[in-house]
Amino acid sequence: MDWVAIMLSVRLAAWTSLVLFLVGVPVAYWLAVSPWRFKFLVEAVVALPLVLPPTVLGFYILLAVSPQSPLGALYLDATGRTLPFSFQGLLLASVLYSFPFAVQPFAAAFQAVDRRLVEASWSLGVSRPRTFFRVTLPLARPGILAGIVLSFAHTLGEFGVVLMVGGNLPGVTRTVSVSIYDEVQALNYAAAGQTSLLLLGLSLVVLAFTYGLQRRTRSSWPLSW
Amino acid sequence: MAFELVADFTKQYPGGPAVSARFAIAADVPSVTVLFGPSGSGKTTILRCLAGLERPDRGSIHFGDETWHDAARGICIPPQARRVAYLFQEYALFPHLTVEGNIGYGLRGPHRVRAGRVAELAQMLGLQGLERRLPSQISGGQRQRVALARALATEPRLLLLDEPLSALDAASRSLLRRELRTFLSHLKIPTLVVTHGRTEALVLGDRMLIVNGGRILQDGLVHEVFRRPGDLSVAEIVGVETVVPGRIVAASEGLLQVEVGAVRLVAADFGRLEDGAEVMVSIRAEEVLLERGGPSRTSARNHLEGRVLALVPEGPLVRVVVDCGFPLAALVTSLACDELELAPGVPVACLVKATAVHLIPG
Repeated sequence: MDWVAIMLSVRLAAWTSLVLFLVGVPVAYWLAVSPWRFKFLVEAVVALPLVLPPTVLGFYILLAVSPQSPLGALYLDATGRTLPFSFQGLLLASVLYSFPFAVQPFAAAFQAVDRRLVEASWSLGVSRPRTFFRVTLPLARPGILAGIVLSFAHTLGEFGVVLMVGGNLPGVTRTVSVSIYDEVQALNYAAAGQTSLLLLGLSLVVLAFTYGLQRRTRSSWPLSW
Repeated sequence: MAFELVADFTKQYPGGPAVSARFAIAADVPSVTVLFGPSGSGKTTILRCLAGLERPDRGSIHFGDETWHDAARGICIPPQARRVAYLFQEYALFPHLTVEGNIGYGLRGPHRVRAGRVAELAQMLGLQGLERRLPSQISGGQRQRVALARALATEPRLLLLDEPLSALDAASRSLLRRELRTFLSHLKIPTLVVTHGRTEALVLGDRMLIVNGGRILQDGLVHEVFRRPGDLSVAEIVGVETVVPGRIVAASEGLLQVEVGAVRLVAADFGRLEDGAEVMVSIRAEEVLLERGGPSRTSARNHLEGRVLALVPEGPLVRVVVDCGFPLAALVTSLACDELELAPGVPVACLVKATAVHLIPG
């Protein structure tokens, strides 16, 4: 089994979920409460990675992060390194690729929070930001958790984007799905089978854990989900 | 200048109805003002505008010398800064917080001070022993009291109650109605209550604003508005069912004499009420007979002479509101209505059996 690739994938997925939590929560909250009439355009952009072939997404990311592009040049100036075929470049690609998997459950959870609870909090003299942290976020917790788990699992299995942006550098960008592909290409079915089985088991455990957690919270929190 | 809540504003929903309110209530003496009207009349919108949860498009709201809202000057004080307590229809308790957590939610300061205040409120509203429960683990009546405690914890200057009893079942509603009235009369806070129930309006309110179609139609003392509706449209609203305040003046041979204004009614005594007791007199419209053309001999103990105030068609039936000292509603078929040639102003007698006069302890 390719433990280096497995650990790299887990590390990538964990970082992706963390970044998506920090970036996705404000975006999702804005999507849930904004009355802006052109909001649907933003929603369409957020959902784009769901329908776009990973290779297409990867191709554009590759263009965007190359040292010739403004973004890539900025990163080169700031760190002295380039993004393509690096872990950081891969992380950026993963965040974009899994964006809807985090933001959509987040937004749905925020929308499901009873508006009157928020207004009750305001009437009790609690500011908007504090209301968000004391009422909205705790009540949206099952959905936030679902988004984190989904983006984690989605990142573990990504393949096309990784090949386009990260390439196949062992320990740097060679993730578990690329590793399995390589083993199959080398007709090393036993190794591919072992790694695949591990990934299957891991995914199942993570999902079962999430759904189990939601079932429990749902019964005692009748107003959420 | 008197310390008053002065509202004069209009809220226009895009492509929808407009709700206007214009009234003033004293804010330095405790009083309960009822906003009464059918559902969809704009009562809740008025309450939400006062709380700062809705932004009126025109006009202003002043509280004492503070300006809460002034559309012309672009002033709109957020709900956080108004120190107004708003009790939502379904109470809107935070489901993830315990009873204790809910009551203390709006409190600030050191933990010891907050805990003291929570304990004080829990005791005041009889919630001891429930502090660690979640809202889903207590009864509807208890939830209402938790919501009240939470609202009062921050020492509000104005109390707004939106249909405070509608989330309860009928049995606990009549029980909690009295309890809520007693409680409100002990508070030193001016209160506005939204309701569409007549009994609720009569029991809870001192003063009443009749709201319909997004406008305030009448403003007066509750008993007066019910007894003497200002015009036809108010009579139609308050005459949907008959509930009027009265007083028992005599009891003999299983019958009670009840005085409603200048009218005396005879009611059957079921041994629960005493002489001199204040009561709500309720008469179902289905149990009132109408008669024209001289007295006839009937078994009905109550013959009330009056004039037709309004006719409200309801499918094959007509709700006839008769002014017989107080507005009394009778539900008759439109066929009967035609036969008796009923029209506003026509004299008519209402016949009500003693057993159809229901008395609710007031």
